[in-house]
Amino acid sequence: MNYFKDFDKILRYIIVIAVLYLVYAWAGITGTKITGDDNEVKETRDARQNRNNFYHK
Amino acid sequence: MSNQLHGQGFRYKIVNCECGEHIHCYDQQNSIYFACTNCGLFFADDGDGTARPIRKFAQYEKVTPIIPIGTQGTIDGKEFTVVAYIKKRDADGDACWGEYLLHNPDLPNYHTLAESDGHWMLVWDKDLAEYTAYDVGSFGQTRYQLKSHRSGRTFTHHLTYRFHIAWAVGEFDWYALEEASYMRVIEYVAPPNIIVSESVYGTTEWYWGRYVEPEDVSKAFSISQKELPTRVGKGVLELPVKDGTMGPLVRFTILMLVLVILTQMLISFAKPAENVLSISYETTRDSTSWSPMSPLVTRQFELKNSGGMEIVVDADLDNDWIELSMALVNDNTGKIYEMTKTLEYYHGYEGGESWSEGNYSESVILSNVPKGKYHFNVYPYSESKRIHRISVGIVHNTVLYSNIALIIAAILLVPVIRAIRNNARKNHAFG
Repeated sequence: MNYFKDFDKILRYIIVIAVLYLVYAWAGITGTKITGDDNEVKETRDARQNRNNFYHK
Repeated sequence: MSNQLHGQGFRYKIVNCECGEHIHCYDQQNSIYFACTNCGLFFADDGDGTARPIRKFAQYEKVTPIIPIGTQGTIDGKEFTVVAYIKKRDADGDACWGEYLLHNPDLPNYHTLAESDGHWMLVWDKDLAEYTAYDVGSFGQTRYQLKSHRSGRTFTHHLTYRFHIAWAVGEFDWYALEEASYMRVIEYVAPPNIIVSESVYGTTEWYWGRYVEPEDVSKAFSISQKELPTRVGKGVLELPVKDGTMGPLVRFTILMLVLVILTQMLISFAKPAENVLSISYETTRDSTSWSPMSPLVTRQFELKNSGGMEIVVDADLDNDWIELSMALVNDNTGKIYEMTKTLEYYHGYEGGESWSEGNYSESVILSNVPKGKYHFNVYPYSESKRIHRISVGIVHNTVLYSNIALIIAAILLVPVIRAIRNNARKNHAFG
């Protein structure tokens, strides 16, 4: 039996899942959480950096 | 008045309506009521040559049957003649459907070919003694099902309704109008079949039916399929179309699941999870800080590649809370990732039972943290004066389980829905 028989009947579905898989693989390689960072997280370069540097010895 | 005639190889008689329209009567022995194609008069032929008017249907309800009265056809190897057409409306007037009465002189009763929204079903009387009704309702509501004690096949309740006849043409062997006024109809379905009970005057008649494909109607009565009404939606008795996609769908799903597992193994092999920081310390009072508790500044650590990061913090809490403002600082670029977590843990003993709420451990996931040298700052804040022990653990290249869950859910979504639907329909049809 050909494992890939009749795959053409679900071609559009295959394309959608393949795109999602590529997103998943990219996220896995880069270490990206697909749904985004935990919402408490934010990046900043504000004045608090000075304080952080102050404490860092 | 009526005349005996021969037509197209079978006998019929002509019954005249008071409007002058000639109505063909094919079941001469039994038909005593007639409905005029032209004026919509429902009348009785008392056999003395006079038509006794009973009721006239409203002209705006007038409809010309797609299968003309007198048409002969063969269904299930039996020959029928279409002897009447009835247009019915439910009591609310919302739904409207048509029923053709099919006559075969060798059968004691009519077969009914019903059409609604382009979906057809054939209904006839049948011994249904093997079916027993039982209540499957809940929360005080009654909901009956029918179950065969032979096959175990179950018919679920579909509709209960009353109806009135809006228009009719042809001949009838019973006073259809009177019965329609009092009749209560209950339908039980198990596609492609249906069981119909009609209760009137304290007696109940049971009928069996099945879905009929439009092309079968077309073939049976030699009518072009183009003339039949277009199917709207999915018929309640219609079985799912076997499109042959379930097989490849299942195989593709298995293939993708294997691919996801392999991909995850490969990623974990190429970028193994690494515990880059594990530290614990006790808080002290600090009058120089904006917080009454002294902050923690960790040693520097290096990330050799970019990737996801999980930061786990916990504190020894005992009916207490502590807020941890945290910052991951990139020493190369000065970029800061800020986050805040509040830990609280309360417990006690009340009413003979122990209780607890909150958590003394939390974690944060950071996405795609670039390689470089970092340190981690913790600024604790608590109103409590006791000393807290705080632990921080940072794992780089952590496995992002939410990504795996998402892709697996996406892969399984369609096949699972399809399988549930198919299974439900199969149970209806063959259960």
